[in-house]
Amino acid sequence: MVVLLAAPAWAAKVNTEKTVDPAPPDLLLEGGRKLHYERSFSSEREMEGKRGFFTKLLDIAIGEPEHPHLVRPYSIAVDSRGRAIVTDPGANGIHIFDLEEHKYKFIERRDKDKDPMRSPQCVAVDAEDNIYVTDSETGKIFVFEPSGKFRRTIGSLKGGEGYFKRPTGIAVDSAAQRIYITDTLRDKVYVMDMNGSILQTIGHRGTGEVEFNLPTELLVRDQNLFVVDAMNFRVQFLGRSGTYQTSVGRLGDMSGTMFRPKGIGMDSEGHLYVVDGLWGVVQVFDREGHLLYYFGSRGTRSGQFQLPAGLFIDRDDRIFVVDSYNRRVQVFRYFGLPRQAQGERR
Amino acid sequence: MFAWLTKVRNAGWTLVGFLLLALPAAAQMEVGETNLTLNGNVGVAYSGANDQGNSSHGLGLVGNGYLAGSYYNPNFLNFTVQPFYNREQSDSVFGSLTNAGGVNSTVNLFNGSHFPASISFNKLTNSTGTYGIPGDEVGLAETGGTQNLGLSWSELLPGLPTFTASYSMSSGSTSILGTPGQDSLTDKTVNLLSTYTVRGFRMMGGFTHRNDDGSFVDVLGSGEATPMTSGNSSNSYTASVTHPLPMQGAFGVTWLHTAYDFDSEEPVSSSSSSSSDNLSGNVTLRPAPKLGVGINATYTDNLLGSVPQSIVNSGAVEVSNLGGFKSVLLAANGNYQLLRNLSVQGVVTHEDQKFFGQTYSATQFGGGANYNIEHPLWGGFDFYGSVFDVVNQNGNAGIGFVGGVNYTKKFDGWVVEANGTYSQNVQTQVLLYTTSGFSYLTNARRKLANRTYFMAGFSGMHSVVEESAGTSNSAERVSSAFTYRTYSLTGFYSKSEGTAVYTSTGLVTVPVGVPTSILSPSALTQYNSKSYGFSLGATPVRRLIISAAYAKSNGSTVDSTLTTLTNNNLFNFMMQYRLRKIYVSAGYTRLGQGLTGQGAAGTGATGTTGTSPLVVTSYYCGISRWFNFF
Repeated sequence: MVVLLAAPAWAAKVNTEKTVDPAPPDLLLEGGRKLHYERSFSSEREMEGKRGFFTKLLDIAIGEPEHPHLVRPYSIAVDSRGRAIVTDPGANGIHIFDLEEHKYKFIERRDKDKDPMRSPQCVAVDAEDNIYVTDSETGKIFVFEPSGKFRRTIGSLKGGEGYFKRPTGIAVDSAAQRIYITDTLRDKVYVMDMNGSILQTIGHRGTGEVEFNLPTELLVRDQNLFVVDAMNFRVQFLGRSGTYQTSVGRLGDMSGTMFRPKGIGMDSEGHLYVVDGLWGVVQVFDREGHLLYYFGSRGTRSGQFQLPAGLFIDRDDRIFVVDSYNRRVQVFRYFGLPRQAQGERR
Repeated sequence: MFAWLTKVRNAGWTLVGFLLLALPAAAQMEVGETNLTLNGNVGVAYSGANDQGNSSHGLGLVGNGYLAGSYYNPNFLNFTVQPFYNREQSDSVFGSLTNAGGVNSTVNLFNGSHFPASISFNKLTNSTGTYGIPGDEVGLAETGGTQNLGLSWSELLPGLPTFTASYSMSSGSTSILGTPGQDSLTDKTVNLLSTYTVRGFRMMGGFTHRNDDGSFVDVLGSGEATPMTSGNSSNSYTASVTHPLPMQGAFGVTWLHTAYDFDSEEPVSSSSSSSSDNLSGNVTLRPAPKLGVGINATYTDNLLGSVPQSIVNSGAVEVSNLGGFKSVLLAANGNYQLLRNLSVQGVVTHEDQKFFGQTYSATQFGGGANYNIEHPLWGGFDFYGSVFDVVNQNGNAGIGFVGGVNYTKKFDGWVVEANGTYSQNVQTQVLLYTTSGFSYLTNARRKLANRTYFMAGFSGMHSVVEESAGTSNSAERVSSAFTYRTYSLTGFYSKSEGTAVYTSTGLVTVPVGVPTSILSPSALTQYNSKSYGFSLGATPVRRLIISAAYAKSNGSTVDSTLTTLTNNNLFNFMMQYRLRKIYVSAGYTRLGQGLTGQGAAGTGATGTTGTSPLVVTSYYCGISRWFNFF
């Protein structure tokens, strides 16, 4: 029986080579700038180092272990240690990919009696690498230590219910000791201290300045607060105190317009990156709202996206894009002008 | 002396062989233009059984596989083959009483083309199944095997009439544990179907030939040890045409001709044959946005010709010969949306039936309303009801009623749902008979704490043919479930009684609307049954599943010659632990089953053979590994 089963295996051409998806070519930009595709990751398997002989032997005997995989990733943040923290509402948890130490960790609180985490949405880290996660279902913000240990919740009322109706975007300003939260269903941005006390609310429903229609993601950079005003199809630039400065985007299906704005980020040259979830592209604007370039298209190959959501740009100008429907995170790197050249330009 | 050691060693070498085979496993295998995928579980198991003192046990291979592939292109030819051998006990209500084996396979050809075809073949051996008894939630355990073959081919050329031809042949034999003899049934069916659409006319024509040959030991009925054999064949021709009309309307005409033969050879030879023609037409219109009207007419020259198929799919039920049974039905109806949550309907029907040389007629005038309301305090109500008056050849026959209510309410963490229906003097398929009944269903559930839930339900029904004594059917069921984290506990109690029809797969309750008087008395029995049981399930740690269940039922069937008492109890335990691709499984099953025949007074019947209670226990412990061979 064994020989019979084995016979076709010898005669056959067994295709053991994994099909390699070629990386997209570098995107060459004005002034010698370029955008380079680096890699993608999607599961614990890619974080592992080389497997030893006995590990391989065990794998043959009882099979490889199940590697946790991104299910429906949404948002991403990268801490000071280079760890990518990805929220995954589909898996009801948070993936921590340590790209440098080749480690992986999964945080979940779905089954806890007290303060269960049901739908982690957006994530931010503070200067000490504490992890802040909004839970759009329970209406709370969960705070974890860098190790992943649960520390506390923000916005938890007596009886365990959450204060927020649907908290989504979050940004932490450690220097100013402020936490910014968007409550999408209330069309507001809440400004809190690090203890969770509300200091200020910004905005209300509308289409004008400092008015929102289902605001989602947030970004705090320098003295500015950037708010994705999703159903007004724009990103509003506000001062820290909520004063209106300008906005980028309008409804449309051409370059420079937006249809489903999602994650935002800012590179070292102050360019704003905006993910459009439906068109599967990332558009890059300057501070005046001019479209500089865009990358990506709808698809499953490297450099392409299907329902992209979160975006994060680290201090090395690595651009992490959560490619939600393709269940992966794609990493690009922006090579801007040298610092000296930047100074000359300014 | 060391035979067991040899078995263990052989099993070990076999496993090593599979492990080596799995080494190159990585992707699909290609042989020429054939793509193949093979995966499955392979393992060894130690199992044993004690069947009324006869003990057996041993070590053997277990497994199942999944082979899929395609040639040239998946649309050109694709296939799947799923064999299994000594299947694990979790696949059967009765656990590992028998170690079932078999194969399921399909081949699809020319998918997406104008001429797709398919072939399927399934075979099941040494399996455990259920001889159904209404209200008995365990049923009587039976063993046997089945196999069936299906062929299908279609022509789907655009702009031309489509044509589909299919043929299926199935056969099987089963025997109730602890009783002599076995039931067998062979079914052959040929189907031809054609459709064509031209200038808005959608036309359909079809032909079906069906042949059933069966024999079954009537262990619950007459007590005859000799199997009853019967043959049933039928030819059906059908044609229909539909076309849209203005005002969002449509009309349709359907014709159906059925000719059937029924032959019974044992214990008494008899045969019957008949045919029926059915012609019906309908027109619907929506002259105003809130108003809909429709009329329909149906002519049937032998109403009983369609009855057997409505009771059991096998069609092997003999009906009484009432001679010609002509029926003409005319009906008109209208409905109007009076308010957003209130609609009213009206209907007038007139039907003439002719049988036993007499003509019976009835005219029915009816009206009804649907009303629903959502109130934050009271919850959601949905009422419907209609009243109708029937006038027949003897004058006014009285008023009938059909009504019901649905209720949903959430309060203080509870979700309560209730449903009730009531019917009075509703016409059956034969104008001489009307039926009445009621049914209810309630359930309440609550989240008690995080991951802790409770549910309780109560349901029941009662129906009766008004003009025929002893034709009532009733059933009640109480059930409850409690879930805490990964632990669950369920329980139920049910009882039912009424009139049922014997078939080779079990007793089937006579459907509401079919008077028992048109069925052969030898096919009918009175039954009652009570059951209770509970089950426990747990996943104490990840990848470990444990479950245990116990159920007990007893009841009786009564016909003119014999009263048969049935009782059975079933205990089942199983656990499974998965470590990566290794599965460790174990289980235990204990079945007690008894049939006791008591001759009716003055009949001299002595009861069925094999009436001593049967106790079968089996156990199972095995380890298997899932392989992705290629």
